[in-house]
Formats: sequence, C-alpha cells, structure tokens
Amino acid sequence: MSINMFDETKYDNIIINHRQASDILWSLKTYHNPLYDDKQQSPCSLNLLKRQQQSSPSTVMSETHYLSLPRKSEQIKQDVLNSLSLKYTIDNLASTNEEKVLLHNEAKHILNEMSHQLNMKSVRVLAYLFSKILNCLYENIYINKENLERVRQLYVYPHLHQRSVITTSSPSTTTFSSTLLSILSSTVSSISPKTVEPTMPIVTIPINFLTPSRILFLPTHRSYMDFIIMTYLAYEYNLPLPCIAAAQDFLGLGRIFSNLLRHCGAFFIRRTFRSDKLYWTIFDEYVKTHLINGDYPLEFFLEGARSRTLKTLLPVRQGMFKSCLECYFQRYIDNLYLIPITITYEKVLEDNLHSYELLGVPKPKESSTGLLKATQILKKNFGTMFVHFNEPIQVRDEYEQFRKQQQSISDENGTMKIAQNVEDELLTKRILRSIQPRFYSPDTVDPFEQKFIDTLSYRVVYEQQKSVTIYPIALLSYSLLSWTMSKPTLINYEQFLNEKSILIDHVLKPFSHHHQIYWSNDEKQKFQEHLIRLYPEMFEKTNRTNENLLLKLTNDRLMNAALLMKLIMYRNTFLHLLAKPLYVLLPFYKQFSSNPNHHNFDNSSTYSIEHLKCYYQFFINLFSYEFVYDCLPSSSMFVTVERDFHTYLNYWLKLNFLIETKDSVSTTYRLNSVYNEQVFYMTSAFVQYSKAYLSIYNHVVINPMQNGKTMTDTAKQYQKEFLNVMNINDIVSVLCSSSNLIQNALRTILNTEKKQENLDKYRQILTLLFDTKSQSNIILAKL
Amino acid sequence: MSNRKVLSLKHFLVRSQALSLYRDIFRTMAQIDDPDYRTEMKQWARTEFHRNKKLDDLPTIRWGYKDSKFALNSNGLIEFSGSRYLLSGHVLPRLKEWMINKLGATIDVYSPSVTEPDPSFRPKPIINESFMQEYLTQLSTIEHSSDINDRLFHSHGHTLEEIWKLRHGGQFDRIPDLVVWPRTHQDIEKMVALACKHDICLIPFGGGTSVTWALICPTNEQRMIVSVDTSQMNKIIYIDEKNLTARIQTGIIGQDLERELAKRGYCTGHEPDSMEFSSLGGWIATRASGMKKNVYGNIEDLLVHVTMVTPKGTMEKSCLGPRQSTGLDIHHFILGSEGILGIITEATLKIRPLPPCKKYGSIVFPDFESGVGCLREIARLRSAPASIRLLDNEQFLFGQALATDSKGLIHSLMDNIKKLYITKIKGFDVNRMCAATLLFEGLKNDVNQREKFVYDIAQKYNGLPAGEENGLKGYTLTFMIAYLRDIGLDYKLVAESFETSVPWDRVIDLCRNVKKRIVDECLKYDVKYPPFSSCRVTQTYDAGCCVYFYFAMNYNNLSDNTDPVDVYEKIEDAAREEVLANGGSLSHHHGIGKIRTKWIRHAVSDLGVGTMSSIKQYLDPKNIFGNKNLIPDDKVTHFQSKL
Repeated sequence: MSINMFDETKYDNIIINHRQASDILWSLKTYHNPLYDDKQQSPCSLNLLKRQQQSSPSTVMSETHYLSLPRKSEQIKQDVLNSLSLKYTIDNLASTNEEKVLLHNEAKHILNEMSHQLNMKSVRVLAYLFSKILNCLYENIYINKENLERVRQLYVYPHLHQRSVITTSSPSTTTFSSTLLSILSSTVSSISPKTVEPTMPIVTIPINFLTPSRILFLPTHRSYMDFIIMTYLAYEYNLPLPCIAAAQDFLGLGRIFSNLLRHCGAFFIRRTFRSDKLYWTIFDEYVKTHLINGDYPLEFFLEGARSRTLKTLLPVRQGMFKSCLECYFQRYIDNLYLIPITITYEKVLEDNLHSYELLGVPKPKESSTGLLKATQILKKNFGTMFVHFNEPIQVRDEYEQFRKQQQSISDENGTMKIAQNVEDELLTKRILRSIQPRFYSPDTVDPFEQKFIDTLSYRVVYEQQKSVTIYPIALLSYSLLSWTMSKPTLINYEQFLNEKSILIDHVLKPFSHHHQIYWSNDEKQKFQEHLIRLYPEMFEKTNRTNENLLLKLTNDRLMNAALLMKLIMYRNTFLHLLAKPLYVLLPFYKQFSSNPNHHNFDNSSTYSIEHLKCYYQFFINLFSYEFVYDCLPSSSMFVTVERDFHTYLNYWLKLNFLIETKDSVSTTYRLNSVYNEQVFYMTSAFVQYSKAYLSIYNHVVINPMQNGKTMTDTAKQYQKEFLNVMNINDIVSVLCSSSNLIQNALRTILNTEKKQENLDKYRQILTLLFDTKSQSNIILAKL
Repeated sequence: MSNRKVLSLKHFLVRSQALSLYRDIFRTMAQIDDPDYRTEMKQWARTEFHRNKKLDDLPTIRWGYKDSKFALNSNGLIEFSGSRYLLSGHVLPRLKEWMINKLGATIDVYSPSVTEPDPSFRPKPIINESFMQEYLTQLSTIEHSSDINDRLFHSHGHTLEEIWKLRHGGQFDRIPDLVVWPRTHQDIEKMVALACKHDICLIPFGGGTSVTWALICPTNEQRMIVSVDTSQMNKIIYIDEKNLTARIQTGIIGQDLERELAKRGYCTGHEPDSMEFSSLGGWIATRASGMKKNVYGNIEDLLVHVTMVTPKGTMEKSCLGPRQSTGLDIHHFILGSEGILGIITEATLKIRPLPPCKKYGSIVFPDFESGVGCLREIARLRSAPASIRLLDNEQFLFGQALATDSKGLIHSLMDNIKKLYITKIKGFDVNRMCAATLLFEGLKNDVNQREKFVYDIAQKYNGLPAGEENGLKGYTLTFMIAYLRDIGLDYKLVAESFETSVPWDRVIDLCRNVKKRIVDECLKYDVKYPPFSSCRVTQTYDAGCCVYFYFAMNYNNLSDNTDPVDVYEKIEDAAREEVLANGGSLSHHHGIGKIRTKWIRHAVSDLGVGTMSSIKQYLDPKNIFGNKNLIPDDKVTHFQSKL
C-alpha cells in the first residue's frame, strides 16, 4: 500500500478502547497531571508518582512542583487584577480616584465574565457524558500515539537522562585506579568494581530549576467538537488540562452550560475588542499569566472561527497568538512550544449548518434550546475522526532561525546594507524592550517581530493542514464535482476509482508526505453502504437491481445548492495539497477543456517558461487566501517560488503531460493532448475556483467599497446578487455564492495597494485563460 | 615548595606561583625590623630568584598559589592543600561524589596539563632594534626580560580559552616581545615617550587576572609588543589621615594594599573576588566592583584622584575636591578604559578606619524566588549589610558538597538535626532551597542592629537564619572557585563564570532563562552529560542587582571532531545573547576586553562606540596602546587556531 495510506498501528483508537471498558470507571480513573504532584487530589496519585519514578527514573518532574501551583482560578483572577499592566492601564484611563474604582470594578466584572473555573470534578462529569456521546457518534477516533508521547515528554525533560548510560571510549590505564574504584563503588552503589571500568555509572540527575514547558495547543477548528476533544484527550492521556479560549457567543448557551464549559477550562472572550483598552489589557494579562506561571497549557484556534468551508480560514487571527509570543519576546518565559493539531472529521457535526451559512443563511444563535435540539444528532453516525498531533514547534529555535534567514535573504539581495538594517532594526528594538519595564508594553510589536509572527502563524496553519486525513467522501466529491451535474447524478463507482487513483498517483503521492488517506479497499457494496450510513441526506440508492448511488437532488433550489456546497466543502479538505503542482497546468485550460472532436492544433496554447512561471506565481497570489502553502506567499521567497516551479515543471515533463518544443529562438511548452481528459479532471477544482473568481471580478466595482462599508457588508451584498442568478447545474455559480469565497476574492485585491489596477489585471488574465468565449489570443504584455 | 603526597603527575612548577612566592617573600621580609638586615635579605632573595629563574622552566597553568590546590589524596578523596584558606588542609569527602553525580565526571578520565610549554614553540620576538638600543642606554634602570616564560606569562588572562591553550602547550598566536617592570610614574612616562618615538605597542599588565581576553596580543600586530608589568609599582605613597585618603601606586595587589593599610588601622574596603591577585590599576581600568560595596562603594566611588600616562602626556585633575562639576568627568574616561588609552600609574583612594566588628551570617530560603524577594526588600529599605549574596539551589548543593570532613560525632549529629528541622518541619525542598550569605561590618551596635533587621525581613520571606559558619564558608568558596576549575580541567570538566547586572523585575526570569538556555544549548551541541548551570546574586543596588553565572560541563565523549572549547564558547555566546535579550547588561564588572566587543555596539549604541574611538583617537593617535580592547575591530580574530 502507499506510504500515505492510513496505518492503524500508529494510532490509538479511543472509541474501541472505551467500548471495552466501563465509562463510569473511566470517569473516576486516576488522573495524573504530569506537572504537579497534586496532593489534594488523591493519595493514589502519589503512589502512582512513586511507581512511575521507580520504573523510569525521573520521568516526572516532581522536584519542580511549586506548592502553590497550579493556581486555582480565583488566584488567577487575583493575579490579573493585581498585575502592573492593569494598574498602569487604569491609571492612564482614569483621571480621578472615583473613576479608578469604577474601572477596577469593571475590570473585576470583565474578569468574572472571562475566566475559567477549571476543576477536576466537572471534568470528570463531562468526561463521563462525552464518553457516552462520543461512543454514540463515532465509529473510530484515532490519535497518533507517537507525537502524543512527544508532547508528554515535553513535560518531563528526559533528554539528559536518556543518555546517561554511556560507555567510555577509552578507559585510561592509570595505576591508581584500583584504589579509586573501590571508593567509586562505595559511592555509586550497585556497580561492582569489576564492571565499572568500561561503563559509566548511571547518572540520574534531576534538573530541578527547569520550569515546565510552556505549551500552546493549536488545533484546527471545524466543529464545536474541537472544543471538547482536547480536554477529553488530556484527561485520557494524563496531560495537563488546557485552558481553552472560546468566543463569548457561548455564554448564550445559558448559565448551566456555559458554567459547565468554564469548569472544564473554557474562558470566554469577546470577538472584537481591540479598541477597548481596558478589556484588551485584561485579556492580554489573562493569557500571559497562564503562560508565565506555566501551570496550564493554553488551547486556542488560530483560525479564530469554525471554518465553514472546511479549508483553513486565512488570514490567521493573531491577537491571542501575539500575546503569547510577547511573553517570549519579553522573556517572561524562556521558550514556547506550539503543538499544531489536525482534527479531521469524516463527517462534520454541523456540516448542514455550515453549508447553509456559506449560502448566506444566518448562523443560529447559540442557545440552550438549540443545544437540546441538537441532541437528535446522537442518533446519527459521524464515522471516523482523526486527532493528529504534529511535531512541536519551538518558538525560540524558530525565532533564531528566522533572524538568520532574514539576514541571509538580505545578503542574497546583494546589499549588505539591508542585512545591517535588519540586524539594526532588531537590535534597536531589543534595546527598547530592555529599557522599558515590561508592564509598559505598547500593544504593538515591532515590524521585525510582526514579520516573524506572520511567518510563524502561517507555518502553524500549514503544519495543521499538511497532515490532514483524506476521507473517501473528499475523493468522491472531487470526482462528482468534476462531472457535469444533471439530475439524477449517478455515481459511477468504476470511474470514480479510476479517477481517484489518477489524483493520488499523479499529484498527492509525489508532492505531499504527511497526509494520510483513510481508505479501506472495500467492495463497491460496502462502500456504498458506508456512504449511505454516514451521509443519508446526500445520497440515496437507486431502485434498480444493479444498485448504484444517486446524489439526492431535489426540486428545492436552496437545498440542492446546500448539497453541492457540502460536496465542495468536503472536497476542500485536501485541495491545498494539490494546488501548487496543478497551477503549472492551469494555463492550458483552453486546450484541455476543448472538445477533442474539434481538435484544432492551432488553438492549443504554448507558453514559454517565463510565461508559465508568471502564471504560476499569479495563481499563487490569486489564491493566497484560499489555499495554504508551505510558506507565506507574500514573504520574500523568490528562491522557493523558483525552485518549486521548476520541480513541478520537470515533474510534468517527465510524466509527458507537458511537451517541450525547442526551436532556434525559444523553448516553449505545450500540453500533451493525450492527457487532456486526465488534466481536465485533475484541475477541475481549480478551474472552478478560477472561474468563480473571474465572475466575481467581473461583477466587482471598486468605488463603493471605500464608502465606509466593511468588507463583510460588501461581500454580503454581492452574495445576494450571486444567489439570485445561481444555477445549480453550474458548480461555478454555486461556488460564487459562497460567502467565504467572495470574501477571499475581495481580500486578494483589496489587501494590495493599487486596488483598481490589480482588479483589472486579475480580471484580464483570468478572462484570457478561462473565458472560452473571448477569442483574444493576444500574448499578454505584462503580468 | 613542599612536595605533598599526591599524584606525582601533578607536580608542575607553575610560574605564577613562583611569582606570588616571590611577592610573598618580600611581604614577609617587610616584617623584618632591622632595616639593614631587611635590605640584605631582599637583595639575597632577588638574586636568588634571578639565578633560578631559568631553572623552573615551566609554564603558568593554574590559578593562584602554588601550595593551594585541590587534588586527590591517597584515600582517593579530594583534598585542598596548603594553609591559606579556611578549607586548606581539609579533606572534602563529598566533593568527588558531587562531581561524579552532577557532572558525570569519572576518575579514569584524566586529562592532565602539559608539564611545560611546547618546546618547539619559541616564537621569535619582533625586536625594534633602535628602540632596544635607546631603552638599554636610557632606561636601563627599568627591569626587563625577553625570556619565553616571562613573555608567555604576560600573554594571557584567565578565561577558559586561555587556560585551555596553556594546558595544551601555550601556543598563542602572538605573545609580547618584551616585558618591562617599571617602578615609578616617571619610569612609565619615559617608557611611553620612548614607545611613541619608536612606534612600539604597549600592553599594560597588572595582576594578570583578566577574564575578557584583554591581555591577549592582537594577532595582526606587526610592531614590537612590550608588556608593561606594573607589579613593582606597589607602594603606598602616603596616607592622609585628615581626609581619609591614600595615594597609592597602581601596581599594588589588592591583599597587599589591605594589609598595609590595616597596619595603620585603615582599609579601602574594596574586595573583589580576585583581590588576592588583581591590582589597583586593573580595578580602575575595568570598573571593578568589590563585594563590600554596600558600605564602601565600587571603585568609581572610592576613587578621588587618578593619574594616567597617555601617549600625549599625563592626564589628571588638579584638585582633590570630593566632587567636581567640571564638564565631562575625565575620571570616567579612565575608569573602564581597559588599557587602550594609557597606563594608570597612581590613584588616590578613600580609606576607612578598620571596622571594629565583622560578622558573618547566612539565611536559607525555601526557593530562589523568595530569596530574590528578600534581597529586593532589603535593597528597597537600603539596609543591606556590607555584603549579601544569594546562591541558587545548584550552588547551595554544591556548597554542601564542599563540606569538610566531619569534626566529630556531635557536630555531624547537630548537622543532621538541623537538616531534619529544615526539610521535615519547615517543609523546605532540598532541591529547591537556596541560601544567602551575609557579611556585616561596622560598629558592634550597628552590626547587631542591622543583623536583627535583616533577619526580620528574611523571616517575612520564609528565610531561616543558618548560622555564622555557613556564611563564612560561603565567602571562602568565592576564592576557591578558580582552584576548582583546575581540578575540573584535569577530569575533562570545563567551567567558566560570567556576570551581568539586571533590573529587579527581571532577575528571576533572567536567572531561570539563562540557566535553562545553557542546558538547552548543551543538548543542542550534543554534550553527553548534564551541565552544571547555576547562578547567584552577588550585589544589590537600588534599581537592580548583579548576577553571576557559573557553568561547567563535562566534555567527555563529545563527538571526535568537535573542539570542546569551541562548543563551550558557542554555548557561552548563546547564554550571553540570552542575557541581553532578558534585559541584562553586557557586563557588570568584568569589562569588555576582546571577548565581548561584538556586542558593544548594541550595548552603548554606535554613537557611544564612536565617542570612545574619538577619545582614543585623540589621546593615542598612533595606537601605542594597541591591545584592541573595547572597540570592535572586524579584521581581528583573537583565537585563530581555534576552529
């Protein structure tokens, strides 16, 4: 099987484990926090600790425990209230003493609203509940053991101990060794003088000043389930329970539910508060105090919201991430570990809602009645879920590497002066940081650090996305959506299998190494049953004897659109893995889309290498908010663009998809028409996105956007217009109606300096490449 | 020079000890009453030394006194020999265990120093003939030597790199070509004038205890290098009891100065850890700090007047007024000039009557954080004793390892009871607790009062008084550290210390982060054994404190092609970067030398360095004092052969 195929041995399946054991006993199990030997908790944990120490020396840092840690939530609140930065902010905001008291009270109020009340009892109750619920909902929940263990290792600092037994390479033959050895053996027990010579005594040294590692759990956010699953796993695997940043919308759930969440470590923050100085200070301080004291790891979602499209939400929301990194910049902490976590669902809990939301139906408010209604989902089956822990990222190493990289980039640009500047910029800032007290932190980071944050947060998102699990539904959606939609759409299983292997063999396998494909080579029958079981609202069986699956298209336009949107969503889950290699083939659209019967050789487009490269870069920029790449598209990485492009070009040349033609003047490339069909299939998703962008750009008028309207408002307006003309037989028009896509398309042009110019340019290029009606075959002057 | 019953391998005659012996003899002789007899004895000793100079043809490889060192005794335990220190003559039964357990040292891995400098290494001195001619005719009264050992002795300070090099044959890329021993200010004036005339590079040399590569000769120096050893300028010119000042020649060694003043009932109170060997001139040139600065002040506070000979002439103020508003303070050019502007010849220092009462003390704290809290509070109330130092847990445990052989059953019983009380009843965690050592000085009443006050504050921070003896031990440990490095080097342990100063609010973070950084860097460079990474707070100020870091690692089993000193240096650089990022200063009292010039621009800004260069340019346009300290010079690498 392929290397990227799912390998069950590397994973823990907690559902299977739980089905074999009692839930109630599990919820009463001994939970052991690796950071603290919590004496209040249970006498058993002490024994456990001792046992663990005996079995493997000092895997638990009991030496470092603070008697006062982990702090109770009340203590944390007090710490924030007494913090210098809050005092400074209040002093600045208030002019009189009465105002100060008022602000102080307001701060208290905000804190009460915000803070979590993590405690074990509630966690146990929820653990019990969710053990039941998860067992109902999911067939499998897979956790990758290896990296989970690495996360645990971060807390126990084993590195030096592991190496403690080392044989000396050359025992020196000194005359006095016999007397020394006798003394040695008296100090180091259990080693006989005879054997001591070749081996070192076992050295087990507690490094007792080392503080616990500061850890940020950064999961992807697709579903409400994401909130629960990390705490659940932390409980299961004896990791410190994380504190989770949640949006304040959840307070709408009512006191009982929101308090339950609070007790499990959720803290609630407003959606936007940048301008509210007091709120911002409290939030900043609240986040920092967790990291500085290191008593709880933090968990938050870099994407900021559940991604309705099941793709990454770009750009990354940096607010909380910044606060965390500032702890490092200010050296409150010596290092910070980021754990990107990829949570992938075979069927997302709220996929229905997501698809409607994308089509502009407003999101239902979080409420307790809504939650009760949601209990009906318990009857459904949500298949498999993967929680993939990625390798920890060390902020300190990243930062130092980034510094070096920035210097070398400027070196490559040939001007030493820039290198000097980068260094200077950094160093002047560092001096600023060291000549200001740390409570007085102007809430902006300097450009260099900002650049680092941009790069790092993007990197985290990439790390999350590179190890996605590709479910059958995603592959099926890819095929289905490449076919022309008509009622009824039959699933041609054989064609699907064929196309699936094209996609996997030609694009996924060569260029992506971290994803896994969850595919059990089932019979057609089984496969279909599985689909019907998981997605009853999407598929139905035909009544014929030769049973096939049908897409459940109805007469309701919106429902059909939602159904298609769902397919698009599931297809989205892995598009980023395909994007870059396929960008090279996209410019040949007119050729591979044309009817092979009317094959006209003149019509086939040929490009020089420069053109291809320009187009490649054009697509990278065009879809920079749509798909996540391995590094930030805006960063100065000419080198990587160049290198990647050549890799892909050579790859397609090697496969004979592209043909190189050399004449005396230049080298041109054209598509091998034999593969038209395959290319058509492979690129279908990207062609659809490009066309959707084109129709949006054809529609967009720049001027009104400057009239104080936010982009979201503008996008909503466009969405309405697109919804009116939506034709469900045309995937592109469905895509155009997606609020997310419209926003991304707008962002692409609005976040540049010359808006109108860019819009025209993008429109022009897209028309040239994708508008079959336009006959303009002019070679583009400039890109 | 007694031969002790220790490993014969380790009997090296070390020149620095010979020199200190020489100084010792003279000190002893100064006590002979009969002036004639004294002169005669001195004469005899001097000739004797000169006669034997060539005999003990061995390099200078270790720190300090020859008779004082750590070594394994016949029982395989570590013993500190000699009789100078509190620990001298004692066996330290737990030290070896500590070295084995903490650092993974083994007895079998023995890496002795070379016994003499590489015989093939006899770098030909660059001799400026016309200079030599004029020198011999006009300045023959100034002693000089071009002996290889003299030159080697004056070519280095005491950083690990330098000691390492010495232990491996002493092949420095460039060493002084001539060593001179002037005796007076006038001698130096003449020397400098002559050097200017013949374009000679002069490097001032005081006690030779630099830890910043300040004494290393720039590798690309093509001129003749003359090391000006001020050790013969060791007289107290006068003591002014009305003003409580003393005029002193700057070559005087710290402990000699204190002893001479003590005879008259005075002291300066300046006691840096290196005071046994470092000189007054060196203190001024590096902005030294003494441990009792809380009572007496640092060197800049003690200095009333100073005279420096520069290539352009002699610079000094014309008044002994205690404070002057006369524009930019020229004393502050001279303080910290690190030998790039001229030679400091004489200084007038404040002196104080000897304190009638001197009392040690110590406090144990449950953890470092509360210790720092207590120190901060004491500093806030400005009630610090003459010296207060806070050792972190690692050093506290290390101090325990230095415990001497037990003095009897009762004693050890008492020790055990104390230990039980602290750990069991008070609930201190042995792996977290730390200790502060205190030194009170002054009138008896004041001392008692201050002592009570300090202990009361300590109580608020859960500190428990831990007795005078521990305090005294703590301070002797200071003088021992350098000797400990020598035995460490014998067993493949490299060690070094570095210091910084930092505002109070960052102390704890800085200490933790730097210590952790050292451990992490060791992992990164694949050091096979856990390092010893430790710190202590040695000085408190109103706005911050001075932190001293100790770092030792076992380089045994390091992969073959890595140079331990190189790895060590990378780790130290990373640690320094971490210090700076944590808001610590580049140096508190060691100075910049050449080891830290790469950061000086960031420390004092480009303009700051520019200002320094223009002063240098004005006073010394021909770069006579060309030791290349302070001001960065991209073209020079100081340890070329390292990589």
